Amino acid sequence: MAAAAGLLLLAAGCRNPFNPSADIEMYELEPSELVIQKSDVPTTGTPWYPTWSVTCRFLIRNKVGVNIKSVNLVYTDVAGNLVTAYRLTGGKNYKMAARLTPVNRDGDIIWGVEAEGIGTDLSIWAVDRNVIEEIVAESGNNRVIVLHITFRGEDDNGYDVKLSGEVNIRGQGF
Amino acid sequence: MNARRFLVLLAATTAGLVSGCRNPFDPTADIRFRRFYANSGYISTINADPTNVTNIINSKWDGFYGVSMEIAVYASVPVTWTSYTVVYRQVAAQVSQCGLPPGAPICSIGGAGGRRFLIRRHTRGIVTNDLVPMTDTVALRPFSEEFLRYISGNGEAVSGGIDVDITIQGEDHNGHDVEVSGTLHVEVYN
Repeated sequence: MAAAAGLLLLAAGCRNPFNPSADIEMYELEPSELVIQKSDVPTTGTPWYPTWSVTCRFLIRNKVGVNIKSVNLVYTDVAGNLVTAYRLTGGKNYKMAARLTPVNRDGDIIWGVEAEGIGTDLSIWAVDRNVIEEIVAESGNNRVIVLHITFRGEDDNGYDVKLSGEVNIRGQGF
Repeated sequence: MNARRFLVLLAATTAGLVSGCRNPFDPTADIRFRRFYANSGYISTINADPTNVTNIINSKWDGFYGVSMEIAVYASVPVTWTSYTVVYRQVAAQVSQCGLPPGAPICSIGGAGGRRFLIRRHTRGIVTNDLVPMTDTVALRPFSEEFLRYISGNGEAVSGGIDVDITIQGEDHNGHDVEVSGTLHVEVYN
């Protein structure tokens, strides 16, 4: 009996089965690619920044909810070098408080389809003046910035949660 | 060890070796490429006239010149797609650019490595018996500004058009790398 319990403990990696971490993933970034169109950037005044918002979709497959506490946006070129004025600050960091809902019943439909879990959307504005200036400063017809998005938080059982994904930001018509 | 135990152990070892020591409870996603949808059905057509290309670049062309990749899922293991790679191959020879033969990757648009675009997109696994295979359509944008400017500035691209090899890469929920690929033909005309 004791040996069986010991083996079970070893196999489970010493984790308490009654205190699981959230089964969560960053499901999707929508749109999958952002395009900064020259015509969307006025020569004077402020662009309409929600044009370049990214909807971050999360999916939780168990009953452990998550509280998101911060988001970090890092901009690099395709070779991985930090770009924009934020290269000196490790990207942009925002404190936030958002609740990602856990599963609480069977048969949920999210985003119009039978779901694998429960989804929550969060939107962020991915582009600002510094990003536009970087796109404009790049030469040639292949103006691309890679945006690395990382959310951090904690689930309801106290485990740290870190979710990240990347999308391209393309300049067009400059 | 008696003979029976030895045989069981031998059978288990053989099964493990044959299956590549893979855990049967940790399967890979079973994903297959089905077809592309483009502005002209299963192929794409683009007018390479410089004025028209400039209009495309200066307009919101996501829908008309976007490409959708339909994939079929035959297992209950979902996939998260994280990038796709596009290799542009010119049907005609690249005489003026770099002297490459017909069908070679276009050297000025990434060559054989092509261009890689980062995305984040989820494809569900099978969640019900009523939908097998589960299908998903992933929206892609392989026609970048540099590609459009290339076809408007190179008459060679008009003769025969361009084949676009698209490979989409990701990871399934059991941690296995997954990729599917297909080729889309782009008819270029003036």
